[in-house]
Amino acid sequence: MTAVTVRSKCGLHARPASQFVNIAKNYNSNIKVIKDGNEYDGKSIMSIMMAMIIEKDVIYIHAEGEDANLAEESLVQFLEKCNE
Amino acid sequence: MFNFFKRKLSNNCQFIAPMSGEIIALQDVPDKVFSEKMMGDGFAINPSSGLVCSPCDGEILQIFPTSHAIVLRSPEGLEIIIHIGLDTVKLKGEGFKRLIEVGDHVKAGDMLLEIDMDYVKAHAKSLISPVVITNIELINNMNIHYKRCKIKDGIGYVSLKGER
Repeated sequence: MTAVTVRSKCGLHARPASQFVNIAKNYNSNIKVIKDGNEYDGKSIMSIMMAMIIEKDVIYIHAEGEDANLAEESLVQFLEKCNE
Repeated sequence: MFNFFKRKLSNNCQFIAPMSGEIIALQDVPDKVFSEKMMGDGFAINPSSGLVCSPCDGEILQIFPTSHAIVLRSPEGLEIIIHIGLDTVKLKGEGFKRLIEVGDHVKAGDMLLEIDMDYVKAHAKSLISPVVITNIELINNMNIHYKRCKIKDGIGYVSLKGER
């Protein structure tokens, strides 16, 4: 599980949320996004949009599976770069 | 025979125009998130007036704090994002007046939002508003008519896979 602070100024809305989900789908691992103790499916655009993740939110990425480390790493990297 | 017809009917989700304007293909929306169907499949409307109604029956699952996007679930289970304008998240709610709240059950044609067209036109990239079904795995076929229409005009249907 990796913690990350969201930088995207408008939060994970349509474009960043789609990009996030598309990255997550590249991995076989089960990927969860945890915000305020609630779990969301990292591979579902609807789930991520429902999480209403906004700038400065601290969220956790939790991947489970053979490529979990890689998955967490690339998703965290994406969120740290994404400042749209 | 009757059952056959019943099943067929409940397998389609009828759509009406959520705004007055021109219904266009999602591929023609000048934003890759939508035109490349990154979020899902659907259609878009280039609106001529600022009233937005629900395109089908459903429950309001989410309204963004900025009121520029609404998530709706149809009785058939389609999860639909109604996204008003492009890059409108940046307007931070200015120009949008919401007429419903999360958890409301709406009928096709119930009013959802009122848009200040002049304000949004001046401050956002475009008024073109995509209507996207995100759980495309449920969709068998989309039959949407691309045409000019008035709000609440029938514009076609989405047929769903399998029996339910």
